[in-house]
Amino acid sequence: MVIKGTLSKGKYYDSVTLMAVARKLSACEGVLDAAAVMGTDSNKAILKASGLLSGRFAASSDADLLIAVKASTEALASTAMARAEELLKAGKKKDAGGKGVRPRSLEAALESLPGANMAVISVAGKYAADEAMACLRRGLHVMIFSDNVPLEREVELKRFGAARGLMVMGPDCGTAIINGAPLAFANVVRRGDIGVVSAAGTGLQEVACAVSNAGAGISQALGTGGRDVKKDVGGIMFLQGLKALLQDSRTKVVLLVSKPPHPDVVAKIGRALRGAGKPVVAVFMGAEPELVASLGAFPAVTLEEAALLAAGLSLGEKPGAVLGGLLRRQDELAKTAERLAAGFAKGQRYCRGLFCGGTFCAEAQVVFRRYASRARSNAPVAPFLDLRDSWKSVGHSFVDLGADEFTQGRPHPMIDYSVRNRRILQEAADPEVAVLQLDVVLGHGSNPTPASDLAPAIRDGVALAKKAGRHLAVVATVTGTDLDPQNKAGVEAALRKAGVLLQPSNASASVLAGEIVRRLGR
Amino acid sequence: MSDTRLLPGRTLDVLVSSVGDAVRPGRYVLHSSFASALNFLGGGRLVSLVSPRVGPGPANVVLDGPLPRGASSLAVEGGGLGLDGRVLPLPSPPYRSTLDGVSPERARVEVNLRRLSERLPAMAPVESLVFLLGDGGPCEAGGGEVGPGRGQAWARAARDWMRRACGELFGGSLAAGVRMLRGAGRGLTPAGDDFLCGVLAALDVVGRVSGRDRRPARGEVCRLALGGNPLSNAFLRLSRDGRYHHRHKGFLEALMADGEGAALRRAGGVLGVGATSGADWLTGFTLSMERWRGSWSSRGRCPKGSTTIPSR
Amino acid sequence: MKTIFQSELKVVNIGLESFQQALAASGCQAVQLDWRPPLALSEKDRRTLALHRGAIDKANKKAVDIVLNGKPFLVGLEKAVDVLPGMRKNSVFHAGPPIGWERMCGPMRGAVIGALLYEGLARTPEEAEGLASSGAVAFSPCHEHGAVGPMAGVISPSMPVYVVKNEEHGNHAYCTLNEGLGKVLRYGAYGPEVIERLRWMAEVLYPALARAVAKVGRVDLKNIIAQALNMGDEVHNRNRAATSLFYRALAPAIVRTCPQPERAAQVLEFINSNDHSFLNLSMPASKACLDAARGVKDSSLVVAMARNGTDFGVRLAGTGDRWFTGPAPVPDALFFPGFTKEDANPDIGDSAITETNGLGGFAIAASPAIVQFVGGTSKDALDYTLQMYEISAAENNVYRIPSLDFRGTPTGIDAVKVVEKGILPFIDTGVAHKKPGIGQVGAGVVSAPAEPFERAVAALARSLDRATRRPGRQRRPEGRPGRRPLGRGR
Repeated sequence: MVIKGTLSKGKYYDSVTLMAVARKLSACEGVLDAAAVMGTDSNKAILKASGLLSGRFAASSDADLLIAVKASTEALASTAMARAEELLKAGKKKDAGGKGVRPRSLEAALESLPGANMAVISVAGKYAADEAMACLRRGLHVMIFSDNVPLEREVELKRFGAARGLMVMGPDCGTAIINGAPLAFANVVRRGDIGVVSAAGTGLQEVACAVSNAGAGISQALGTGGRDVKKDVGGIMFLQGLKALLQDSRTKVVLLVSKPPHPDVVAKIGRALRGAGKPVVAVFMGAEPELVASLGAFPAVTLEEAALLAAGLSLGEKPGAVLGGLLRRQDELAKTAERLAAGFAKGQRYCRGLFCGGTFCAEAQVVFRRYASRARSNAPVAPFLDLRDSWKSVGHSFVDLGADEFTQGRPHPMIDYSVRNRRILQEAADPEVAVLQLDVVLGHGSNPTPASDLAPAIRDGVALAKKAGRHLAVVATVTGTDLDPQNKAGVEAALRKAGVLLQPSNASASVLAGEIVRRLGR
Repeated sequence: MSDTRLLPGRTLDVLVSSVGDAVRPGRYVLHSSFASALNFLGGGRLVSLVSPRVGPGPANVVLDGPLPRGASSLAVEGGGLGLDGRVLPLPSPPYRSTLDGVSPERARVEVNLRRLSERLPAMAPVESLVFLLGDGGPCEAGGGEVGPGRGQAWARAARDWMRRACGELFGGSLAAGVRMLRGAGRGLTPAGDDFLCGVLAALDVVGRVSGRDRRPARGEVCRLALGGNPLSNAFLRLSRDGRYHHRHKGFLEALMADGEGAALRRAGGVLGVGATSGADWLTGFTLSMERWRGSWSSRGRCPKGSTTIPSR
Repeated sequence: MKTIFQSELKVVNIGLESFQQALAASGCQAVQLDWRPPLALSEKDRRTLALHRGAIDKANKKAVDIVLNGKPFLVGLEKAVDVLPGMRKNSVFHAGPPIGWERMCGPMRGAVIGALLYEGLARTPEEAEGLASSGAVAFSPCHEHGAVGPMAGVISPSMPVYVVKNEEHGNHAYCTLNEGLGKVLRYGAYGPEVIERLRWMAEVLYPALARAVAKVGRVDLKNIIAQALNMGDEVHNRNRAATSLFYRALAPAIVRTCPQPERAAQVLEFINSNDHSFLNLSMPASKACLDAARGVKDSSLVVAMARNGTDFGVRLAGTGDRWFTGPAPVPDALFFPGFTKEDANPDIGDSAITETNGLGGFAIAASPAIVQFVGGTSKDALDYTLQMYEISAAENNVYRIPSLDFRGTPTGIDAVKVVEKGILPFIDTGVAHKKPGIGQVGAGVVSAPAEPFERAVAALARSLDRATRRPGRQRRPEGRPGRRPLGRGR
């Protein structure tokens, strides 16, 4: 048995690197024990107690790094030590943002990352399908962020993948969380035992964040792309994902998110759920709850409800408690609306929803149906009608700013707020507008400084209305967690300061908007 | 999706979006650099240039843009940050890092603390000090914790050490306990130091709830905890002064005054700090709060040990 | 599918870089693919190629084996009109794909004028120009007559040429003798000193070399090239070592077979003073090996890359005599003092036949000194060669690169891989002044243009597609004999 130690002066490695080094060292061949710790007296005492103290450590100071390795032979100890130095150097390079050599072809990429098991594809739509097929042929699971991929190619890819047990998430799949890793636009959420399959990108983000914020966690979150549950694709990926989660040992609760699937797909889901053995919660946005209940799953009307139900099931809480809480909140919001209603000018009566997330636009309409019988949208949910000119709101309007007409040749509204900011001012200038509803989505890939980009437009809009003797109520929700890159608490504080009525969920924001509008109708 | 890398109207300039209230005028020299933080030291004080993900803190300057990796020094003077020959304006007012604006409610603290103790072991990473909460209390003699497989001698020895340190801290000699925790364990700022920062935060909260000033005790604990690691020292001093990073502050405010699981959510935010830093801090905080529960009320009994932890 | 839930996620990111960064920041292993859109290929052609992948790969293997087994030897020297198939008294052959006088660039026109003066078919440059544009001259690519020529590559009937024989397959290839540097015909110069030199070469150099070669029997060119690669040459832009070896191989024979010692000395000095002497042998050696692979059915192997200063042309083993062309690019060069890219002529010459054979730019890792020409480092040289492996059918069995641990050079360009991966062949080359007669203005690197490869592959796809459709012939694309799909009639 050999003990080797090195003392590293004056270099500072962050804790994550140190932990990784220690872990990988322990996994080296022939290594019986290893530690990478600062050279304090306490640590030296601990090293002594565990038989890892090397003579070299005697002269260490608190600011030095000690690496100790116990191995079966001298040679193995030296090899392990050399590996440790490599890992530390690599850690430092990562900090400095080193780029390294980039492979230019798929073969070269696979050579540089042996064991690669997933490809994330976000090149232009017309190339995406070919790239995806090339990856599938090589046994990689695939996530296709790109849109504008022909429907036939999607069907071809999904059939090909399904036959080989490979995932094809997308096309037009904006979000997924696999093994806790954020793919494309994804939030940093707690890991847990709730598995999600979603045909709606922002829907997945909303439920994942709500689950995490409620204290439960996500095992896997699979996106399928919006077309998957329609007739042509027939739910191939949706069902593949559902079955995988039903079999996954880490997943104890399954959560399904989608716009209402085609009846054929609904039937397939029903069959898959027979004898499921795990509770399944499903929110089919806009469908009657009986549809989901008939499949043997717990129905939810909104994304928040679905997430809280799933979290409740995971944490062993009663579903009744969850729903009770939501109803109480609704009462509170009604009271708030009552208070606010008095502050509007005569003639103000409409709600204008401006959304980055298509699912939020749909959900807002589903909720709003209770409060008004007529509204328009560029992605209407029955019974609401189509907005003829997406750039001009009429009456109650709900606009999906991520739709093609807004994103041609422009960055997506989740990243670049300029289109929405201009629209905010446009709506604020309309004397019949009383409420604006907005969504702010955090996470990887989204606007890194949402508050500083959005708050000024809101302030300007509110001021513009005020100058004309009107009150503009701005209702919004921030979708994200405290672990996201954007500092959620800071964003929320800044938006509140700008006068936004922040709600904990998009559904809740829609309720508040609806309650206000109901009281202004007369 | 079109090219989403270009944001119209954004320049490449860096903006300071937040400056902490412990950032004092002076010259600072680069001490260490990491992916989301650059640490500068001057006259024993710390100033960190950080990314928005790290966010506001008492000694943090949050930059809305890429961190200037080439900078070897910076200067703070009269409302401006001197960096690479430029002067960046510092926003005003600074980020307020103390708990002064909050009125604590005893009942809420009790409820929130109980939920935290119950849930923390499940929420915190297994490599952190959270095990100290789980196995029947910190005063028990060294538990039968046996790790599976090889490579566990160090981990076992470290756990034993931590348990004994806690035993001393809460039931034996405070000074001995602090000295054992100082610099102990994994991490660039060792786990024991994060634990002690949590202890200091608990003394701050205890003081506010009971209405009795704990500053002498905090000063004593900090003095005993200082060592040769300038980063650890800086964090200990800030904790002694009751100055907190926005995540810890959010948690403490929720603990003292919010209900309905807010404290637990905010604790989740603290868990996101570092690899185990947040968890170790929360463990030190929770254990101290539990152990010194009696001293919240003015009639509380004194815990065994050093008289520098007041209860009367 | 659940297996991925059990394993560590390792991601290849193809597209937006921020996705890779986010993964890396969350501790996940993720590599960023430096993706370029593949070259233009229609959906239909893509499917045809996918369908016939097996057959194409098999054909390419056959073709590249033929190339790798070639044994090029210098077996003699002759007058062009006596050996070049199809050469007539009024022929003037040129480098690159077919082109008429009107479209010829400056240097090539100059070379044509010079050749006509040399042949005595015109007495002044003006007369020569008139003749050239009159239609009386039969222009044709050297390539179509078993020959290759550097830069303008002009061969006229009286010019002496090297005769190279591929002893493995029996085919021949020819090339003129290298004139040296400065004001020379191949750069479009046609002044009296140029013509003078050409005459000297025909009267003194040619006979001396012819006798010397006859004396030694033959010169093993493959052997010289293989050794030269170990000595810092890549035998396109750097030929110094190969020229030295050639000199050593022939010097005693030259001395022995030359009637006057002074002549022998002149000949030796001429070879010695021109570091590029061997280029005119490495080129036909390459052509001799590649020509043997022509006609391999269904093969997408490139058998010729050639430029005439206006167009860049490509030929494949499996598409017969067809040329596929696109505009020739201007090379990215380090220019000699006083010259800039404004002065440069588009890429010109048959010398890209060396790259086609796994030499030149494809072996640049053997000759790091060359990249200094583009301000690169020796690591860049390595990277260039390494990239070429991605589009090559094989690694050479004889030509090896010391700095890559004696790995064989990437040999046999697969046009389909070029188009699918969007990686274009890399050529390092000299750059001519766009005005005739001024000469070389720089040296550098150029990527072959995409268009010729796109067209070539599209043509191959169409011919494969047509073959499957031919009535009465049920072709099994994947090579499985016999079996008919169920349900289709007899």
